[in-house]
Amino acid sequence: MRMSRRLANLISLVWLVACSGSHPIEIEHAWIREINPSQSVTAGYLTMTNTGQTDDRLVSVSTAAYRVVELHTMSVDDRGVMKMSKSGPIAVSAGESVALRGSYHLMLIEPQYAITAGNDVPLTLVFEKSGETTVAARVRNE
Amino acid sequence: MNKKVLYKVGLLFALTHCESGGPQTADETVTTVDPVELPELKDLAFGRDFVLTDQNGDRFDTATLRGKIIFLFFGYTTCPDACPMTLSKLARVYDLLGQEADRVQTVYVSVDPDRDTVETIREYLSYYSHPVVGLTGTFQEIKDVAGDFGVFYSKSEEETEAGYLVDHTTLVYLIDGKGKLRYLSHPEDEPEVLAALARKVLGGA
Repeated sequence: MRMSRRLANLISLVWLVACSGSHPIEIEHAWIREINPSQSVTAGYLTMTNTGQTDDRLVSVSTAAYRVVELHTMSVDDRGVMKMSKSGPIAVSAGESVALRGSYHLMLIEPQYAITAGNDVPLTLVFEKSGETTVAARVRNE
Repeated sequence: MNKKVLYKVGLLFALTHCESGGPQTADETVTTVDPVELPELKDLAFGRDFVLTDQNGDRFDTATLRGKIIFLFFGYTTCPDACPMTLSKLARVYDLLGQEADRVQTVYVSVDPDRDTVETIREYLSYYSHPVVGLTGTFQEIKDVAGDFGVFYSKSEEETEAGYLVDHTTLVYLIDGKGKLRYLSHPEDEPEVLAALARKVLGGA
């Protein structure tokens, strides 16, 4: 099971290298925080730039590396109180960029194998209008 | 405010937040902060010493840390974003302080005592290279300590696939060697700012 997931990841990454570049929404700075292997949740970050002519929305994210990925909003008020909750679809207007960092992040739940710094994890982002795109998110220790 | 404007504001916040709280590169050499921009130290009349259970299962009294600066913060181990970011930031502050970091102690108090057992906290903190005292306690003990530091925490009603989330105060409390609360650090404070303030306090300010 473990090997097949790694293989699935490898295939995704090869596909990614071979086929990326045509999607109207460009994904940059995608990374995932490495955490203690005893933990079941971590956060992922990226920036989406809509280079197309049509407003779009990020609907969901999936990966073979985690059981589930949720879109989350996060805010910190003047008193330093952090509130986090699940987000609905995240809009990316035509010609604009949205950073999933600060106000938003991905919450990645239950790693399916050891996710260690320096490796890449493929993330498949599903957009309402422009469909799927897969990116490599670097695992970082920070 | 229409949705588009709302998202633009969100984007602006995200970008500015990204710049101020973003990852530090290892080769960054800036370790000083313009004294004019450094926030003022205060003499705050709340907070106190407290006793909770540490990650070894022993009772830990913060009064034993006299002579050291304490970076105190409140969090929970299944927090994916703000808490590890705080711990990473404090690791960076330790790096900036160099040898002076020997006179600094990070104290982490769980606001999720139901899930954060002694063992859970021990496992969680073992990942971080700088020394952190991780504390948990009974529901009432945590409530009392949080109350004394003006810490808000509340289980979010919304369930995620990873269970409940906890909304909570993410300030870092800077306590001096005499046990006095001197500064409340907002998440947007750069590690350089915290390191500079710590140096000031260690120097007798």
